[in-house]
Amino acid sequence: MTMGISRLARAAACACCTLLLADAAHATIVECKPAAAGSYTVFLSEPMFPTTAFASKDQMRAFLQRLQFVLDQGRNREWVQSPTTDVRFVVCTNRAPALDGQEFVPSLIDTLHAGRVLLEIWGQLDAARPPGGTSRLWAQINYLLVPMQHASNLKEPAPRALQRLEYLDAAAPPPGDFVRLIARPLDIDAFVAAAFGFKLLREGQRELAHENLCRASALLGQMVRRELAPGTLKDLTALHAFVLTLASRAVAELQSDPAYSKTGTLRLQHPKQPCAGEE
Amino acid sequence: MTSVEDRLQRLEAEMDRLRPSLHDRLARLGQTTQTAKPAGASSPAPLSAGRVIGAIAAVARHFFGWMGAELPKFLTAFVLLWFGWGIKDSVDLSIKQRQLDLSYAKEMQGLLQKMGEKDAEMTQLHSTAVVLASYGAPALPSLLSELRYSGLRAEAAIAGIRSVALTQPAPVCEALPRALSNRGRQFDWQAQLKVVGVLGENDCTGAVVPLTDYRAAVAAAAKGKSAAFEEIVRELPLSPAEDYPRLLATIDRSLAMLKR
Repeated sequence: MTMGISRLARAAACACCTLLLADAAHATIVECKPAAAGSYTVFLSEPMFPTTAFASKDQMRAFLQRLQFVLDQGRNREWVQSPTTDVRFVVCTNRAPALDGQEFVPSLIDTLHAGRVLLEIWGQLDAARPPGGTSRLWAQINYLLVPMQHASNLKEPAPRALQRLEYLDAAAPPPGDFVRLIARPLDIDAFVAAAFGFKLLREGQRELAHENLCRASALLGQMVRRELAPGTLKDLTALHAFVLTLASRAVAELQSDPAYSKTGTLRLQHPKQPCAGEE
Repeated sequence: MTSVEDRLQRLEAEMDRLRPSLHDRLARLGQTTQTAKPAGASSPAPLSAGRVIGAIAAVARHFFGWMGAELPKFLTAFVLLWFGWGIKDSVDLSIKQRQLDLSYAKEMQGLLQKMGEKDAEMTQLHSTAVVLASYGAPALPSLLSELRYSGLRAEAAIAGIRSVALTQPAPVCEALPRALSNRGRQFDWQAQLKVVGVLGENDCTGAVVPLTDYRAAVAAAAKGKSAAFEEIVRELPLSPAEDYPRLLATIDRSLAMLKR
């Protein structure tokens, strides 16, 4: 009962925060260059924030730089890449999409997709400081899976490309560390692996696509077991199912490809259980 | 007796002294008129074409004779006058068009600088491109120049070109096919993909041949022979297995629209 009230209060606080932020911030889309040709890119766009989260834009940008460093270099990635398929994180300064992602019109998605952008991440951050208590961090992060949105624009079957997750740091040592809040869970890895797998499959790199899709499936399987809002859970479940379908497709296409090695590891994989033994 | 009466008497005396007398002269004139009447009683003879030409020739001969050595100068001056009068309007129009283009270029300069601003926002780029498009055909070189940049600027440029095409399709249809064959490799394949779409949407029937040639280059590149395509595109697609089929499908759709 107490937990229910607490959740309700938190939801109300978040709603108020959203309204305040929507007024305070103006959504803008400026040019953001993907990583060097040949690499796949994840865009880190600027989040909306009140002064309780960051005192200034410079502080927020410093946070983005640290996040980029942690994601790009300072941790073990959960997705699978080859020497020729590198995934890089790029900070997009001054780029702050609207919370509902309304600016992502098909022409913009086309440009992102052709530039091998896998994911764009943005959202809103807040830090509540109750009198006498320690600050509690809250974040609502949007993950736009570009290959899925591109497929959807082409009227191909695809799950909802804009996934939205909330993060609340109950006890946050050190206080005010949004990087830990956002980078700690494996959510970014799951979405990167899913988008990367789909993009590789479309590019004909089926074996690597299969590996990433199965990795995404495992990570998404963990995510859906968390306590999530019904809408978020529904979207994640649909994405999980879609990823498994793609993995099946990758296995079936490889097995019917005469050029695929007779001793290839996926020769023995059953398309109906594409990730058996890997999750 | 007044002096006027004196004069009248003197005049009458002079007339009496006339030989033949005034009466005789009038009588002879009356006889002549009566004898001439029966011969030409029906109607005056009509002027034949020959007589008219003859008359004109006589006048011309007289005129040429009268002009003498000045005739060539006169003819030259006349021809120049006629020619000048004939081309006066088109020259005026051309000069005015040039002046207008020049003033457009000055006005468009500010808009182009706005499009080139660092961190220009997507909606700002789009609205600037559409304002540029309101200049019509004179804005096409600027918009095509913007199309050379990838990303948001190219997106905005194609929106502007589409706006021009709504009101003035002919200059758009004339200018765009060059983006598909320019050996300066100024455009990337995404810009060319958009150009292909605009050509199809606007019934640019004159673009069938350039589109067919472009298709041949893309189809060869899709099969691994990219030499011809590399000559006309800034960078080859990053994801050939995905991008070439898409490009070919767009070309085929546009060609089907144009041949319909």
